[in-house]
Amino acid sequence: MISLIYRTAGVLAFLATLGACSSDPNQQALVTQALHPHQQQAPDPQFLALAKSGAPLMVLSVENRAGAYAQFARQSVAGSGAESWISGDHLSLGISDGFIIATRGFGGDMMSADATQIKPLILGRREGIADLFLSHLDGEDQVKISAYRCRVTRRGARQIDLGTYQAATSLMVADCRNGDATFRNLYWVEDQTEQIVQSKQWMSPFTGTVATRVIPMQKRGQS
Amino acid sequence: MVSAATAQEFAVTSSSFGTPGLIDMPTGFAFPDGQMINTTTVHGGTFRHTLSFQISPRLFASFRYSTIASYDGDQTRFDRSFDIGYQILTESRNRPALTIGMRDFAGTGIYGSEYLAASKHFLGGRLALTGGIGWGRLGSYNGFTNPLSIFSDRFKTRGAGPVDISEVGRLETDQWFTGDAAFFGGLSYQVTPRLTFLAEYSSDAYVAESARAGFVHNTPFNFGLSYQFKNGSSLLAYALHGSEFGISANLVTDPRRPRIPGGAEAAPPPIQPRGTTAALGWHNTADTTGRTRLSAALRTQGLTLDGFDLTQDTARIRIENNRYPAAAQAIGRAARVMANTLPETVEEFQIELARNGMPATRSTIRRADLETLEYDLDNSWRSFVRTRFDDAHGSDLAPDPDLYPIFNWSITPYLQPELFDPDNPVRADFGLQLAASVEPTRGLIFSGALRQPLWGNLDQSTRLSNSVLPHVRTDVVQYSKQSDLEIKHLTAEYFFRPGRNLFGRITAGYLETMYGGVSAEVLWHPTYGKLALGAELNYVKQRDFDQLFGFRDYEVLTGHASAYYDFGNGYHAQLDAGRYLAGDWGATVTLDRVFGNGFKVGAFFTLTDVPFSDFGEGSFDKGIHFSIPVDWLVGAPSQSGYSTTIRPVQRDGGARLEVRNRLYDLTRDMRVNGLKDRWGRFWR
Repeated sequence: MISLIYRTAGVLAFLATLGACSSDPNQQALVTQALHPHQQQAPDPQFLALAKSGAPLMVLSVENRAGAYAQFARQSVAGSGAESWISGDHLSLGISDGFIIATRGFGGDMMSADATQIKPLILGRREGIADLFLSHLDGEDQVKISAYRCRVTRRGARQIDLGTYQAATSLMVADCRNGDATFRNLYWVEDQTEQIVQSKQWMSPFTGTVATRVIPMQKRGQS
Repeated sequence: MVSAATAQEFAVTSSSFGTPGLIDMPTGFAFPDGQMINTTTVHGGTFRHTLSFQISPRLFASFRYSTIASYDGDQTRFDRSFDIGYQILTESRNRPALTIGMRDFAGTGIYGSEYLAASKHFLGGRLALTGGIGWGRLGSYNGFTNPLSIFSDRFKTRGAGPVDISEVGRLETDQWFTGDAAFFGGLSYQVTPRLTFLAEYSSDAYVAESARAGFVHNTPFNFGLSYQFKNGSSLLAYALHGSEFGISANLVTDPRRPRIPGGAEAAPPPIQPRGTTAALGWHNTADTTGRTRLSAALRTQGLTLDGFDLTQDTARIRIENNRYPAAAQAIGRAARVMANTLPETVEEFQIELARNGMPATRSTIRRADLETLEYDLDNSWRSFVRTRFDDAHGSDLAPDPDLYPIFNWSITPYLQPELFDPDNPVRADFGLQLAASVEPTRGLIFSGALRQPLWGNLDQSTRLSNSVLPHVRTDVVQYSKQSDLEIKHLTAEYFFRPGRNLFGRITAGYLETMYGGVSAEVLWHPTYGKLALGAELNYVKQRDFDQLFGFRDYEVLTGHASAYYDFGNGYHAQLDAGRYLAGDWGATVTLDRVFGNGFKVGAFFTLTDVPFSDFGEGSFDKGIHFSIPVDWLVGAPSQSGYSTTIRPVQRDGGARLEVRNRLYDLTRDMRVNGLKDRWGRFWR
């Protein structure tokens, strides 16, 4: 698994002036990250335990970072239905019925989202217009909530290869815009289960769009 | 998949003086709010480096260091100057932007000039026209009788300005807007989105350069081409008065744009439903395995547990945050760790944030709110208003038994620059610093730092002090020359809470590079509120030039009463009044703009009872400072940063002791005002 954590290359010289060695683990981590940007952190044991115990899994990639992908396992489901997913390299996601409602650790994270208006259209494979709300931290650590108006259209049936089986899905497209930005989210909704099995969802100006795909249980050697 | 909308923002070109302008002439425009612009200009024998800062949407200020070859006979002139400009009118559909400004209003006056400039965009923003009237240098070509003289004859003739170096640095108010005036004007035309053509009619006759440095003034017209890079920086090439070519590079820094917004640190632990917590069977404070688990979980988040109490429905912890520049983020992570670790019967979390052993603010958070708001769209604001804050003074949480003594050490490279020595404007030492500290008990810290210079030229300066005051700062060259391995500081510090809303510090030992002694400070900083008040008293003795253990025979009682005020929107003011190192009495005024991400830019000046003539060059102490957090630069969480103070000249008047860990710097971000500024990080 390749880490998604945003690496900072051209800062080595800078960090060299920062600290050579120290008893402070925070300082050490900073230096280690700078000197060995591709060194893997130890995979989160919680993630490994979840993956082993058969928790739902999915794979996620960041479109604008070549080769950046990670597996996520569902860690918990809150009373509200919001799910927390974690990766082996210390990232996390909030997901509600396949809609990503928070990212953590990606850099330029989406702090939270409200997809309740577009959710029934997408999952019901219906066309229409609905609002989507995303919140981000700006460069001064202030939360900015942005509202987007989304036109949801149905692009027809699509077969998706999930490794173990071909899923019969409908491709739903949400074209969202407000005064500042426009983006397009894609959702492949399995007809039988009404679940999002694959998606491309826009997260933030910094992270851009991420692509997700569920990993069906059978694929994990649990047959 | 995302595209920025076509919001039309016009790039503001920067002149060769590093201020909003064309080539030499100013415009009526302003830089984007908060932007810092570094401009380096070279033409003929002139070199100028200007640092400009757009303090507010309408107000900018600049500091400039210039060298002009052969200005004084065959000698090069070294010159420092300050500019200031205020946009009286912003541009609208029907009216131009109008700026009033002053160049070099407190220096030698080489560039001394004042102006009123109006600028307006046309052709959808591609064309900008500027017209203005200038005084001083900007009124030196084709000048006419000052129109302001209808108000008073005093405007007719321009004041003389400083007669020698000791008068430099004062506000030359008898010069401002006086003497002949002249018109100037120009245009900028955007040929392509990146390339701009500039032309101007200059009202600057280059009188002094022509007479002293061989400049040839053939025509009042200047022409230039400016290329703008994607990041906002630009390169300007220009032809000056038909005789010289010049080049000017502008580097733009926007403090509001850190490398990675919100940081790139690892995700916080998601909140687990209560039934699944690792806390089963944990019911009271005495359960040491539970406590160890909590402590370890906090430690992975970069937080140190230093006190814990558990009752049936309330858990209280005390933490020190050594990782996050935003204290709110430390609170948010601690709260989630508590939710994932503590028994499910606990309904209320109390988190006491401490620094250097001083507990500052207690944040009380309901566990149910934490669970409900984790993925709420408006979770930042909602969690802030649902958190109760109060003073943690008098907290009875016992120290964590396994925590003390705390021992820390580090070996780091250091760079110590000295600017504006006329023989060599940039001098520096580079070396290694060994720092170590031990904290035997809460609040008591023994620490020291040793420096070994490895390479540098600080000791090559030959500019010895000519100060008529006690040499409290101007023997800096001696300190560089006569030291090798040096003790940067070696102190015992004690931090404590003397009362409600009060913080205390006592420091003894080798306090800074030039002074040792005793320093005591008390700060009143209420949990809520914009105002803090402090008092500091120091009895110090000057250290030997070798910066080891010995002292010189100068000693002084120095101290200040201080007021700190947070105006909101990042504007901070500080007033320190008292006795300075040379025994002079006076006050320092500091104004800072602190961005939400911790990036700080500010300016200060000090006036004391030392007469300007005794003070020497510069007349009074003043300067600018900025600090850049490491996490702003790289996106990784760190509390360290780079801080620099730039003074045009360091003299002995208005010099203050530089004791470490002044209290307001420690407490500011832990009080509600500071927490609120960065509360967006609570859920990060």
